[in-house]
Amino acid sequence: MHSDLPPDGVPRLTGAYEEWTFGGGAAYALADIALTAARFVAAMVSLPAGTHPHQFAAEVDRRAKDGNGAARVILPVIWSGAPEQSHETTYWPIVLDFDDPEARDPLDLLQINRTLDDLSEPLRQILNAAGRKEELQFQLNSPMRKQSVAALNSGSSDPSQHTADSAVKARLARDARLVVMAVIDDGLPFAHRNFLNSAGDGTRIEFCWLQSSDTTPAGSVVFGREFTRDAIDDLVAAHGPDEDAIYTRAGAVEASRRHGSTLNHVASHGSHVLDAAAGLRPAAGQDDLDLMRIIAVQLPAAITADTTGFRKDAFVLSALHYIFDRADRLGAAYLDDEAAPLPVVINFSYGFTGGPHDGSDRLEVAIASLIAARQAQGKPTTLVMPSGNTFGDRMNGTIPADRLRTGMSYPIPWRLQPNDRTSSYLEIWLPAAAEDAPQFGLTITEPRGIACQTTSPLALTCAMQPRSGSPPALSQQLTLSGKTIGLCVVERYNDAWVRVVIALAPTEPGNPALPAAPSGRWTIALSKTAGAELDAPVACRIQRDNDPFGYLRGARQSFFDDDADLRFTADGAVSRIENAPVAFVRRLGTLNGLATHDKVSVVAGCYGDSGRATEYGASGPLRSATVPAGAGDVRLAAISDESTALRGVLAAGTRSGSVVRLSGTSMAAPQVARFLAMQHISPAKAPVQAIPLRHPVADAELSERPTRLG
Amino acid sequence: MSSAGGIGGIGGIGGIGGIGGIGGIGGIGGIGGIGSTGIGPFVPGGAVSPILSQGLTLNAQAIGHIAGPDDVGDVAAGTYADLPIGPAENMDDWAAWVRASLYLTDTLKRLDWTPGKRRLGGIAQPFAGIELSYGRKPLITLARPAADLFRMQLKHMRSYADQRSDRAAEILTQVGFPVDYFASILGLNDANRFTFELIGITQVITSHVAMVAKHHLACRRPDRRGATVMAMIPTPAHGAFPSAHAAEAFAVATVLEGLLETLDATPPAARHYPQSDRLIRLLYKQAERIAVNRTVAGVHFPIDSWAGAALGEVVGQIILAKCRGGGATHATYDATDSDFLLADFLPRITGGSGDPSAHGLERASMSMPMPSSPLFGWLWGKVLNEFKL
Repeated sequence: MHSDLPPDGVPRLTGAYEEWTFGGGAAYALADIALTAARFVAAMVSLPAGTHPHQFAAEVDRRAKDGNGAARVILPVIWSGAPEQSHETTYWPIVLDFDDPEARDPLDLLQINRTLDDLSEPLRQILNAAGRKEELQFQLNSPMRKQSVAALNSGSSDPSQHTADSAVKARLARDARLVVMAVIDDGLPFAHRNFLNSAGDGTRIEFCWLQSSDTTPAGSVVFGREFTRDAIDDLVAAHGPDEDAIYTRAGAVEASRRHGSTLNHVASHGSHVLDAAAGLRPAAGQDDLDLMRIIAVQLPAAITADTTGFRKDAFVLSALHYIFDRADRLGAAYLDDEAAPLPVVINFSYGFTGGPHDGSDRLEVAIASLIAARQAQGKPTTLVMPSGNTFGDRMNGTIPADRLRTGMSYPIPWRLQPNDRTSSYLEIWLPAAAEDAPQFGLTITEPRGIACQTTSPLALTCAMQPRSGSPPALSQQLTLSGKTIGLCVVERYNDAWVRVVIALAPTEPGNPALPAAPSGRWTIALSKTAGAELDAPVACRIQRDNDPFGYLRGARQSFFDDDADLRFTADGAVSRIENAPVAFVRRLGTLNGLATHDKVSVVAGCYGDSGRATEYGASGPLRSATVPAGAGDVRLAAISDESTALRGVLAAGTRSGSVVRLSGTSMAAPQVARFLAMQHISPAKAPVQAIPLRHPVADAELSERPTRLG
Repeated sequence: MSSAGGIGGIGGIGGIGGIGGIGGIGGIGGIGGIGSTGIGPFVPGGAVSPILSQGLTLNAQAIGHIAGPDDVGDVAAGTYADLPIGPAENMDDWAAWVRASLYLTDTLKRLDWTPGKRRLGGIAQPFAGIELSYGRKPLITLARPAADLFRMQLKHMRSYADQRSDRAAEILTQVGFPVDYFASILGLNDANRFTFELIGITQVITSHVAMVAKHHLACRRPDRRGATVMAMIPTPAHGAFPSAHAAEAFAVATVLEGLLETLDATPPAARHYPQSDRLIRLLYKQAERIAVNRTVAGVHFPIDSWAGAALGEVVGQIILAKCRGGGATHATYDATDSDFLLADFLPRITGGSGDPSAHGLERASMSMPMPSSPLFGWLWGKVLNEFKL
C-alpha cells in the first residue's frame, strides 16, 4: 500500500478537477445526477505500460467472484486494433459500476478513491511482482443516467453481421472506392434526408450511436443506443415523413430534468456539422456521396453542456474506439476484408481551452496513439478539428520567464463575472524538473483585496513527484470568512508538467444557501521562491465556461482582465494581432487544447467575401520562419462567416428541408473533412491548393494560415 | 460557435415582420362579450362619430328640398318586392357578423350536456367528467384527469420550456386564432374571403364548445401546479383541460381536409391542389405545432392537447357535415401520462404505427350521421367557388 497518504488517509487515484467537482465543490454541480446517488460513472483510466483494459476488467471480475470488491469495471467497445501491449502508459474508456445506490452508502470522492484503490489492487500486485511501482490513474467523468447503461459487459462483442448496401457494393466491385465520414457531435438528426443515398431509398448512415439514450434489452452498446443503417431505414418506413415522431419514438430525444434535447430545436450544432461534412447538396452536378458512408456518435448532452471539458474523456475516447470498430465492420461488409485500407475521416468540432498545449494532454495522447495504430494498419485515418473561437476572448496569458527572476510576485488578473452559475477554473502550467526544482509561492486574493485563507501557505514545487497514487503535491481549500469558495490543487500532470488548478465557486450558485465566490477581478500572485530559473514563460489558461449553442446553464466566461491587453485597434475594430510583449494576455497560443498533437488537421475560419482570417479563430503559438510547420500550427481555413456583416454559413437545421446559419470554426472544420473525404472517392483528385489568406501587412498579422478551401 | 457569430445568426428566426393582422381574426371570438367573432366585429359598426352624425343631419336639411315634399310614395310608381324568406336566403346581404351569429346559433342549438353524467347504453350514469352530445348522439366524452396525472405532466413542461426562444415568434403570433399559419399552407389570400369565413367560424364554434368543456372540467393551469413553469405569456383565465388552441387547430385541419377532399373530386388534370395529400399532412402537422407551442409557452399540458385535439376533431366533423353532409365519430378520452404527438393522435396522417388507444383515446368504430345545414351549405358553395382554376 501507500506510504504517503493525504490527511484523510485515502490514496488519490483521481486528479484536481475531481477534488473540486466531486469533493469540495460537489454541491455546486449542475449535473443531472448527483454523484451520491449514482450507480454508473464514466472514467478514463491510465494503465501502466504492459497492461491492458481487458486484463484490468478480468482481474476486477475475478476478485469480485472471490467476494471482494465494491465495484465492477464495464468496458465499452474497445477497438480490436488498439495496441495490446505498449511500452507507454495507455488510456482507456471505462464505466465504473458501483452497487445499487439503494443498497449502499452515498458515494463521495473518498469512497470512490477507496474503491479505485481496491480495483487497482490486482494489477498493482502484478506490477509489484515485476518490481514496478506505477499506479493506475483515473479521470472521472460524468455520473451516467442509470437507464442509459446496460449492466452487462458486452464489450466490442456484438456478433451481428453488418451487411453492405448491395448497390454500393456492386459499384465497388467495378471501379469505385469507399470512404467513411465519422462525426462526433451533439444533436445528430440521423433521419434527415440529406443523409439519404442518391436514389432516396435508404440512409448512408451505417452506424449511429447516441451515447446517453436509454438502452434497449437487445442493445449492441454498453451505454446509450445504437442505430444501424437498417434500423434507421425501418424507423423512417414506420413513421412516414414525421421526423418529430421518429426521434421521440426512437428514444433519441434525451429529455432530462435539466435540459431538453437540442434535436428538438430548430438548429443543433450537430445538424449543421454533419450536414456540412456529409449532407447531400440539392444542386445538380454535386458530388456523388453514395460512396461516402457515415458513422455518427452523439455525445451525452451533459458533456456538451459543460464546456470546461473535463467530463468528456471517456465519451470522446469510446467514440473513437467505436468508430474504428464499426469502420472495420464496414471493411468486412463492403470490401470483404476487415483489414482492407478503408479510409476514415473523423470530424470532431469541439473546442477546449485548458491543457498543456504540447500534445501531451492525456486525451490527446490517447487519441493520437489510437489514430497512429489504425494508420499503422495501412488504413488512412484523418482527424479534423476546429482551431477554436477564443482568439480574442482573453483566456490565455503568459508570464515571461525573466519577469519571475525579479523576485517580485506576478499578479495574474482573473475576472469572474456576476451571475455565473458554474465554477470557474484557471490552470497554470509549470515545467517539471528532476533536480534543483523551481519552487513557487501563491496568494489568491478576492476583488476587495482580501486574501483567501488556507490551512498553510500555498507553496509549491516543480519537483518530479512519485507516480500517481500519492496525494497531490498540494491541495488546499480556499476560504473567505470561514466559508469554502474554492480549491487550489498542485499536481504532477505528466513527466513534463506540473499543473496548478485553481477552482472557484459560482458567483451565483444555483442553491442560494451555498457560499458564492465574489465576482470581480481576482489576483493570483505567483512568485518564485527557490530553485533553478525558468527558461520558458509560464502558461496560464482559463477553462472555457460559456453556454454552447442550444444550452442554457447560466455559465459566464471568466477572463484575464489585463490593463495592457489592447483588444481594439485605434479605429475601433477588434484586434486581429498579437499584443505587445508587455501584455499578459496572448492571442497566439489560444489553439483548441485538444488539437495540439500531431495527428489532427486543425481548421480555422475565414470570411467568404475577402478570404481574411476571422478575428475569433484561435491560433497556435508564433513560430519562427525557420521552424518547419507541425503540431500546434493551424494550416487550414474554411469559410466560417460570409462576411463581417453576414455572419455564419448555411447548413441543415434539425428537420429535413430546414437551413440555418451558424458561425464559428466548428462550421469550418467539416467543410475540410468533406473535402478530404472526397479526395478518397473522387475519380480525379484535387489536391489542396495553397491560396494565401489576405491580411493587412502588419508584421504580427496571422501569417500562419496559408491554406484555405472554398 | 463563435461568440461573434452568435445565436442571432439562425436564419429566419428573427423576423416577425409580415405576419400580422388579417382584420377581425385576432379576438377570442365572442366570449366574454369582447365582441369579436373571428370574422368581423360581433357588435356591429362600433361607435358612430358624433361629428358624422351631426354632419349627416345638417346635410339632410341642406339638400333635402331638391327631392320635393315628404310623402308616402306613389303606388303607380311601383312597390318594393319583399325579400325572399328561406333557410339560407339573403345571406349575401347580411353583414359578416350577422352570418357569424347565425352559424354559431345554428351549430350550438343542438349541443347538449348534463353535468356529472354520461350515457352508457342509452342510460345516464354518474361520470367524473363531461360528455357533450349533439342532438341525442354522444360526441365527445372527456374524463377529468386526476391531480396527480397533471403533476406527472410537469416533466413535459420542463422539457418543452427549452424551446421558448426557438418558438417565440410563433407563440406570440398564435395567441389569438392562428389563421395565417393555415393560410400559408393553402396559399389563401384576399380572394378567399369565404374560406377565411369558414375557418373563422370553425374556430369560433370550437372555442365555444371548448369553453363549455373547460368550465365543467375545471382543471388548473400548469403555472398553478408547478412552481417553475413560469409561462412566457399571460395564462388565460379559463381551465387548462382541454386546450382550446388544440381544439380550434384540429377542427380547422379537419374542415380543410374535407375541403381538399371535395376539391379533389374532379379529374386529376382539373384539380386545384394537385398535391393535396401533402397539404393535408401539413395541415395536421400545423395543428400539432400550434397545440405544442402552447406547451412550450407554459400554458398547457400535453394531455390538454390530447383532449383539445379530440374535441376539435369531432367539432370539425360536425361543421363539415353541416356543409356537405356526413357524420361525426364519438371519441372518449381518459388521459394517461403521455406527450402529445401527431403520430400517436392521428397515425392515419403520419403513416406511422401510433396507437391512440394506448394513450387513452378511443374513437368509436362507426361514424354517426349528423344534420346538414342550409346556412353552412350556402357558405360551402361560396368557398368552393374560390378554388376554380
